[in-house]
Amino acid sequence: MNNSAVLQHDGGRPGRRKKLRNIHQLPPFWNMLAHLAIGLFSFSCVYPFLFVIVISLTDETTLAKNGYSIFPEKWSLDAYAYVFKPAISCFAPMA
Amino acid sequence: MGSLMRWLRTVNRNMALLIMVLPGAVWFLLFCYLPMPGVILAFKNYRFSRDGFLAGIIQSEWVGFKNFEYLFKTEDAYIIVRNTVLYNAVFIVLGTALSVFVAILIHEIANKKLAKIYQTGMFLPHFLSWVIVSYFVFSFLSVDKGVLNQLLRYFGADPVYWYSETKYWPFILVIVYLWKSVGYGSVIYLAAIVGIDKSYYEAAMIDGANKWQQICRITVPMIMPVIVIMFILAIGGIFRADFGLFYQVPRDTGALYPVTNVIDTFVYRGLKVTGDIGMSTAAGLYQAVVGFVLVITTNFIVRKINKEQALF
Repeated sequence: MNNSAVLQHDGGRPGRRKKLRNIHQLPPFWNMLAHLAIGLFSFSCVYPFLFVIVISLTDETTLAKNGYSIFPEKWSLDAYAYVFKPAISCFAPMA
Repeated sequence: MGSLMRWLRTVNRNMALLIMVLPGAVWFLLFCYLPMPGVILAFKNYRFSRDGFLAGIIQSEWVGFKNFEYLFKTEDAYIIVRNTVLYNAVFIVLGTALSVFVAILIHEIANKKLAKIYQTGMFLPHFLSWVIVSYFVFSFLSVDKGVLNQLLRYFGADPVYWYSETKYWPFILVIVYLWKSVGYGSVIYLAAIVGIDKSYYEAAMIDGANKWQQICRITVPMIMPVIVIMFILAIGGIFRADFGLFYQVPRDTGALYPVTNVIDTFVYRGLKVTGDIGMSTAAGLYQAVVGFVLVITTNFIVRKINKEQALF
């Protein structure tokens, strides 16, 4: 988008090289704030998805004891085994 | 004969565009225009007939506006209309404001690659169904296992029965709706912002405008036509609430009906109990007619203010 960046001239003094700033962009402080705001919102959009995936991989007794947590004590694949079990037993007669 | 040849030649020249429009047009024809004669069900007392659906329509008796009385004479009528209109008004105002704000921020962020990553992340909630979102919300608001109550207990406060108290739900529903819709809505405004001529900003910078002034005086006025069009379209749907949001997210809890019952959920629950098709058709027709009148009126008002920004 900002291909033709306009750079500030540093005066050309020898031995003094200031970092050139693109004056089309936001000032650094506001840029950092914008990154924080949008980054937080974007993370909050993705986080529940990851959270529910972690919950689905949590052990049953840990859930009853500690509730939903992003870092469970014990991981387990029981929920997926339970979900896919009827499907497997459906295919068994064909085997 | 000559005009027919000319018409055929125009069609041939624009064949690529017409083929692109074709799937959408077929969808509209099949799902929006073809079922339109079904509107007469709103004025009939529909009884299932052994000879099929069409015979059932023809044989049912005319009852005039009696189906509409169910909507207006019920004691919940004021609550459901108030809920629908107020929630939608808040959604429109806050949704538009936040979408524009997010679009401007995404456009101004210096690191374009990170901006694309943020945008992709914000996109995700739009593609999730409300049933899944209701389970996300449940993982936060569950009484014994939810994250919010865990936090409250950690800080020594009492856990809150989120699914029984009505006073939190207006805020919860607004936050969940904004979470789901702002990311997708900002794409439209971002596309409008990208289309603004860069020379406006250069001229403004030469005249000594700082970034904030550039945003207020150039970006926002230049995308105002897009904002107005989206606003008019949203006003047309002000009587139609998002069914998934108001039925799935509160998990159909009876205690919350005073704050979460909207026209769509009311009709759905009524249909489940009575199975009266005429009544639900009447509700849909009522919503459509009111929405139509509102779109025409709002467009008329906008045209009086600024002729070019009106929708038609």
